[in-house]
Amino acid sequence: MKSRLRVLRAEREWSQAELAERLGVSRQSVNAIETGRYDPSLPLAFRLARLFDLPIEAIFDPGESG
Amino acid sequence: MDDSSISVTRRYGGYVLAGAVLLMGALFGANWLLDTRDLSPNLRIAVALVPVLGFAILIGLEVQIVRHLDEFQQRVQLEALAMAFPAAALLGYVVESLQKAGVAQEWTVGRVWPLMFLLYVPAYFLARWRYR
Repeated sequence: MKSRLRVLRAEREWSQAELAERLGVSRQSVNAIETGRYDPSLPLAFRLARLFDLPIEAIFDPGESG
Repeated sequence: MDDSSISVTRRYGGYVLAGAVLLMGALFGANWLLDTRDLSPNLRIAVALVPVLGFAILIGLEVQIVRHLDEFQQRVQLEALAMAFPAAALLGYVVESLQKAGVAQEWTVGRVWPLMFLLYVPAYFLARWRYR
């Protein structure tokens, strides 16, 4: 699943480690989500949405499969 | 190993080390007693099973560590185990087949299964590599 996470993070000038700390997950997790290799669970997606104050669909694009 | 894994490891690392030392001590101690002392049959059974306590402690710690990992790290762990467990089973099958062919007689299933811990290491890095 594609995401705008890297762009949103860059806009706030956060490092992956900083975003990971804010989310309470590992930096490795943030990297895997950003590269689209790992789709977060719904609770984690909601945490991301709250953190960026955006709806989930503004962060993630499920593409054709959605 | 990243920051989150490190914090979990730091939290439980001491306990894991103590558990591993306890287990090794129990294994060597039990083997030494069984090999060198003339114990009653019931006592031999009790001594032989003492290392089980060390294994139980390590299993409990492992469960605690995995519970404190985030969802992505738990997936990596699952994939690593999903590779290491069948690989150990395959190795057991290979050893059994070789023994039927008349070689590797000194190997036992008891010596093969602990290799799962060694197989887990490359499996873990392979699983992580997939998500790099």
